Amino acid sequence: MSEPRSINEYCRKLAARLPAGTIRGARVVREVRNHLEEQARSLSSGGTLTLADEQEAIRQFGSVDEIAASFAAQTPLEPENEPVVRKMLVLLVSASSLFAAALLFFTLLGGHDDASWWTLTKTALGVFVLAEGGLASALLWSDRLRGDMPRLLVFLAALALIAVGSATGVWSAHLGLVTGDWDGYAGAGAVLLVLQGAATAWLARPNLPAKSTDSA
Amino acid sequence: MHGETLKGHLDMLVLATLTEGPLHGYAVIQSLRKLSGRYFDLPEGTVYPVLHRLERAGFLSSRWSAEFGRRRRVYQLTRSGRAEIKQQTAEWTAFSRAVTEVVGAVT
Repeated sequence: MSEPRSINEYCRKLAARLPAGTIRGARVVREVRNHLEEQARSLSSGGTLTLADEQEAIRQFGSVDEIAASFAAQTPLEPENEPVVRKMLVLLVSASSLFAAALLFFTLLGGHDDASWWTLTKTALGVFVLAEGGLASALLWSDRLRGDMPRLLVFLAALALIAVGSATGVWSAHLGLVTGDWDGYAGAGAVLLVLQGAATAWLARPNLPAKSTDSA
Repeated sequence: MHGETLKGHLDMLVLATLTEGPLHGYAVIQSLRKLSGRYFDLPEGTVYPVLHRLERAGFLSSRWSAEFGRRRRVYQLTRSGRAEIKQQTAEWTAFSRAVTEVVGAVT
């Protein structure tokens, strides 16, 4: 690949090599442009920048291949929709935690007309949803969960939540079909749990090896 | 110093340049050069992935800052970044002292 001859061309090529549509990718390109312009100005003997100043600044900075490969290897850029998923997860965790707290309240403090296994199931479901919400919150706000093992734990818990949400949905649909009594709360809760599980699993997904971008 | 050897210590060096206060990427590189008497002369672009990685690890935070009409991304140490550089400095001091003593005994 021929080396860019100007700062504009360098930034255009770098942007093309970074994952498309990422917030951090745009930030990297802006930082690099600032750096190159500053360095070219410091190399410039006169007031105006020449192409030679820009080329020397680029030479000192390193090739597009080197920089793109270094980012891919050290700190892969997250997709742009990650902040949106994070905000969505906050809402989902809040809603499901309220749902779980209400379930626990009415199960443990309400009347005990239900069979004991059903009380136990509802209690376990409420506790699990609250615990998974706690893990998801920790993933959102703590840097301590950036390691591979804690992320894997959150990822597996999220998959379990999807399974629980799906089972709840199937069970409420089954009851609706058999008895004709459609429980809207259970259905909404099931959708909520599946969405929360999917969002958490996506954020905690294991780091996959970056694709090699070294064209040398 | 061989480039690969330097890369192994780049995290510590970058964190160390930020102990005096917040800096943008260009200033981090200038500071590295100046403090080392131009001994550390890596391709300038290699510092940015390190800054981003350290930020992702929670050791640095960053924000846009307007200075003389120019917007620059300024990095600064977080509390865990300060603890990290303290620990890395202690380890490095012990290591370099031991190496110096061994090499000194040989020569």
